[in-house]
Amino acid sequence: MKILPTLWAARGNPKEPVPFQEILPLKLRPFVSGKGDKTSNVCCIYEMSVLFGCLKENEFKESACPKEIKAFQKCFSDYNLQKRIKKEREVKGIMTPGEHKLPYKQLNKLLRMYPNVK
Amino acid sequence: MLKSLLTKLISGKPPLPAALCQTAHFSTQPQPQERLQSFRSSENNPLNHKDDHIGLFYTITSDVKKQLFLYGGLPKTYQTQLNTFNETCLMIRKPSVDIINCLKQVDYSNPVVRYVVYGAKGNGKSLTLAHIIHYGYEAGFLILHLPWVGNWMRRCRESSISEFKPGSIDINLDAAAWLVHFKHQNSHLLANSDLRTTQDHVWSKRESTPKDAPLSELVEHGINRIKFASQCIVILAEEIKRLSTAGKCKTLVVVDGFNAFFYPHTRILTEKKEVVHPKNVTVTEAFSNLTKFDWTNGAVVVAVDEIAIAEKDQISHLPRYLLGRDGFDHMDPFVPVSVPTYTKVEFQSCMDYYRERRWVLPLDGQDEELQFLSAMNPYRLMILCNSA
Amino acid sequence: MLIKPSNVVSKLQLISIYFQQNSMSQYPIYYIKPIYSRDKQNKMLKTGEAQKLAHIPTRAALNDQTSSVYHNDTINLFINYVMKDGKKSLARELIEKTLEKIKRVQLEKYHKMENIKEKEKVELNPRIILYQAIVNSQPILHLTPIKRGGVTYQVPVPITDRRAQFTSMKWLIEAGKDKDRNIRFHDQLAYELIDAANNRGKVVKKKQDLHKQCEANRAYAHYRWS
Repeated sequence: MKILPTLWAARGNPKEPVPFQEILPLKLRPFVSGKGDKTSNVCCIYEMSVLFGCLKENEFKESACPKEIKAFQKCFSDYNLQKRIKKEREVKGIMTPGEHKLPYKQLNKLLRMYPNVK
Repeated sequence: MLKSLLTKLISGKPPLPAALCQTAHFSTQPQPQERLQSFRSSENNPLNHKDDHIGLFYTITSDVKKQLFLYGGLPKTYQTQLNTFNETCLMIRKPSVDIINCLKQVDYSNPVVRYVVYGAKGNGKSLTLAHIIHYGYEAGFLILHLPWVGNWMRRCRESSISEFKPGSIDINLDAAAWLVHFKHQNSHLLANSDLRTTQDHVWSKRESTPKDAPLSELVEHGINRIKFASQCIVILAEEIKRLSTAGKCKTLVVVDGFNAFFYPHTRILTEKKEVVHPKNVTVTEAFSNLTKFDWTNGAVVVAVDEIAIAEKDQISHLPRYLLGRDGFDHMDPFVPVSVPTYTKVEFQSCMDYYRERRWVLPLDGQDEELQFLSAMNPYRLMILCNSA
Repeated sequence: MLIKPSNVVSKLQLISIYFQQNSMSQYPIYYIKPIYSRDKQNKMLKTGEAQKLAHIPTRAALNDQTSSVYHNDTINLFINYVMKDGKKSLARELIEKTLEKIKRVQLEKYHKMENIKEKEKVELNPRIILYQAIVNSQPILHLTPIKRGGVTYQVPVPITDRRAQFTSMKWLIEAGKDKDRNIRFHDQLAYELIDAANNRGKVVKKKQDLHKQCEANRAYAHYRWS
């Protein structure tokens, strides 16, 4: 390990308090990133558990649980339909007033409409 | 959900109508009170087959089939069809009816008439011969039937040097198998002890068949002593010619793939791996003898087939090309019988038969499409209907 | 004459549709797909739609898009899954022989039955057997790998129809390949299809095993994935 003075000399020996340097402008970005917005495929868990209960009783014979299977598949297709509708709305930019959780595309659209003018 | 999946899977069309889903209103055997279907003939005896019966199917009983075709005679693909359909039915077609009419009307005191059946691949030559064999059996002919010469010339099981004819090759295993076939087909006639040898035949120092021995003894000797099987066939051919000319029996010689006897590039090899010409095979002599016209009270029906020779030489299906110069000189003069593709009536009858046997699903526009796809060739039609 | 898709809003969206539809296509976007079924063609002639499409450039029909009576989309898909190295003719022959074998096996059963009622129960149409086999071996849900914190969990998740159909067809073909050296692929596949259509055999067991695994892993489904 290097002796302390040489370390300090390499780093220019800063002293507290460190002066603030404005490297990037002190402004919020005019858009929101869409990174954390992916929804997990968490859906139809109740129907799934009902289906599993029925299958376990009947030794995994599908012919014994037609209703449960139908319900499960209906739930999934409904979920997919909702997802597709939501996506189409995002693309078109339709917004419903009073919605509490906007997707990033719609937020960006709003931000573009009402930018932070300086 | 699953039902909708099922209907989607049936290429977007609604589920098949009930009529097509019905599996059985017909039974496998036509019942006596039902009217016979339009494609079947009630005449199962080839002795009575006439021009009116052309295009119709007739049934061969399983006993007759066992007797005649146990060791060959029906093509293998046709045999699988018969197993699936649970019955043995042949279509009555013009070439076989023509030959049957000739066989009925010919004067048997004249030298034998030779008929050469020819046609493109898959037109029905072998089945024509099968029909004629059945006719021969019903009419009491002694049948000398060679199911397929290609098995001897191009797929022989074993070849050896001949003892009796120096420079010749024997195909003894196949010859013995043929003798078994001959014995089986003509068991009812060989039991009749009228057929006896006309000469002494010496096989070796200790073995000989005396004069006036029953023919079946000669055949048995050939089967038991495989070493002498080929020679036995040659002698049998001579004996049968003499017996026919003497009037003891009327003979029908039927050979499928006869042109293989004249095609030089056989697959029989000597020990030195040289190709053997069919002239140098002992059995060829027997059948060349039989197909000459120097005997009476018999008939020779021969089929020439492209498939009996090597693929590179399968250029034409016509007899002059297939027999070659030697074959043509040998067979000339002969009656050529052409086996054409299906006529419209025959085609319709065939499709009706397949539909009745539940082999093909009835669909609109099926016949028209298959007519074009198969070009009315019976073999092609069979292949297409296999997956239909 | 460019035909614009009706739901285009912006240039970006137009390009995105272009890329979605034509990422590998040799044709420009305005080329329409051919209509080769005779029924559809007759319908369109009647309604007058055919006139509208008559002057639009059309893509060439593929080799298996026929106007034949025996045209079948499911079987074409199945043939494509069997195909290797682009040998479509071989794949087609194999499936044709499979259908033939199914017919022979079923007809043998049919002729063995004595009762007409029992005979009626035997399915002689090989296509129906194929559909039934595909439907019976489709899983209802499957496992997806979700990686969290260095561990990959197998989470049971509902399955789309397309994925289910693909999985079942793939399993059936794999079962056909899993055979003795002396047995032909088309024979083995025929036996597997008949078994699957009757809800027994290797493939249906594989599907049930998958369901059992999903049931065993059901705890992971309840977990709140970030």
